[in-house]
Amino acid sequence: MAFIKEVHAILITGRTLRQGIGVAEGKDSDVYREETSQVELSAGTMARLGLKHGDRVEISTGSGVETFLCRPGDLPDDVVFVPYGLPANRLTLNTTEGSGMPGFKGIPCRIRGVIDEDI
Amino acid sequence: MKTFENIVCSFCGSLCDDIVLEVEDNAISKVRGGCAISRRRFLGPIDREVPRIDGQEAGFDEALDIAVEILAKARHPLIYGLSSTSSEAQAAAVKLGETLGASVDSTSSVCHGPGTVAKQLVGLPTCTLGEVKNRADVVVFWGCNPVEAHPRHFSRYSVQAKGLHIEEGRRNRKVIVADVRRTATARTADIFLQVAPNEDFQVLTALRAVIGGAELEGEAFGGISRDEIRTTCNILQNAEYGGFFFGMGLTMTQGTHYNVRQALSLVRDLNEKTAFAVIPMRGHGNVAGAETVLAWQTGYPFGINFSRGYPRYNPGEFTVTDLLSRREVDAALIVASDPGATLPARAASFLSEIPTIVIDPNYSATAKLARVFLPSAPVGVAASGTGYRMDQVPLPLRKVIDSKYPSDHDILLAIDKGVTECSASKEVLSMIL
Repeated sequence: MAFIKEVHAILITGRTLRQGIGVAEGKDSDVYREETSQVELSAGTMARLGLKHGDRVEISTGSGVETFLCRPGDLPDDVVFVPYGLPANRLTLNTTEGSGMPGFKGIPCRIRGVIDEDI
Repeated sequence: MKTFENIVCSFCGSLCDDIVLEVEDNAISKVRGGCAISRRRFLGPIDREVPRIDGQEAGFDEALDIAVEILAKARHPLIYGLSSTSSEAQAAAVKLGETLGASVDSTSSVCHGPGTVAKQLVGLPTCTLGEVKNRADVVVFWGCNPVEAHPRHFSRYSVQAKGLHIEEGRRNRKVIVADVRRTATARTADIFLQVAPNEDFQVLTALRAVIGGAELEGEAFGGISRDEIRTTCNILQNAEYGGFFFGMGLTMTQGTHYNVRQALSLVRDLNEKTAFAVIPMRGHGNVAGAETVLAWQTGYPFGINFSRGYPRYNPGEFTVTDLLSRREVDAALIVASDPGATLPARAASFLSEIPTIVIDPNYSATAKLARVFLPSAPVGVAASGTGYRMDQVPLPLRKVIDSKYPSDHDILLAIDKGVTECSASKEVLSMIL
């Protein structure tokens, strides 16, 4: 697998309507799998990485690495949004700093565009 | 065909109670009202799962016996989930937790738990959703996206709803949204505060300072300009009645309960100027009930441990992510939730290393990791009970069709009975020996 440019950003996870529909249909449903395997990046970040809608990106945090398909979203350049789901869980942090709350939002991450389809 | 009116959908914390269901041949054939999510929930098949032991099909009673055996043997079991079941089942889970000396936690600890900690520190000046609908001319959504997560919240309770003193609905209301992303909810707002990631606390502090009469010395606070702060404060303190909703954009963001403490304090401050109320935007259908039931049964809302024979409370110690990450439990009973698909993978993976029991209508990601899977009748569809709306109003969840499986409540009572009998026979045996 080869990569084009990389950027550093803040990862936030959250609910989307399609993810919610997927939960109601079942987490083995196509809608759930499709929605939770995509990330939203700003148009600026996609341009910097030379990405277009549907291209692959690799995101890594202190917890793990996961590959997603990207789509444009209305968010700041230094933020990446990932719908709640199994792929996102490999990136979220299990440390709660005594609060009980794991790191689901505001996680430093690295985003790399994947140019090799052989993954 | 039979028609059921005023049915409550228990998917999200809005608990919309105006759904009409048509039932033919013990199947829901038509849903009127509801949102895209609730229609799928009601029309989805039930009873498609089978009881399983180690992933293999088993008899229900056989699986129940194994579950009892696992829990009776466990020294530090965990009971977790509870947010998508009835309050009757939640109470049964607490009773079982006491029997077992278990840790008992709900999905609150990974959603609004920090908000509840903040509520314990500063109180919650709150109201019902009906009051928001009938009175609120200013509505704030902070770190929540109801357009996607609570699809009918706007039309039933908050933004578009027409009320007693809000006769023209949206036209009579100002809407303020604070979020890192320009979400679908943000795009409907009169004022959108695009907060820098992890800097909600700074913005809330600046708002509190201005409401308290201070002059701001900086140019921007958490990504929000001084002018935007002033404009927002003018709208907030000139409201006739304000409704403030917050979501996991506050509770999950760096600072967790400090963020919510500041938000609740802002609402408290605003009550010196006008009338303002705050409601946590609860996600799961009966997660508010889980906190309510646990609090009235034990004194504490989540993150509870019975190992000393009485309830102790400590978020960060007895909460699911911490217990699993530190590998401190030796068995788990998961009721009506799916930590295998929602917790960080490093925590969730421990469920496959210990004997895990899942009670759920669906063969969830967690069920696939589990030693024992007990399918149950979905509450609000094939089992009755009580659910608490996000504003703590209890509503009846009605059974409209039959399931071949028992309810979560009945399964938990059966496990408790089995564990109690198992413990009693052990005591007799030890006396004989």
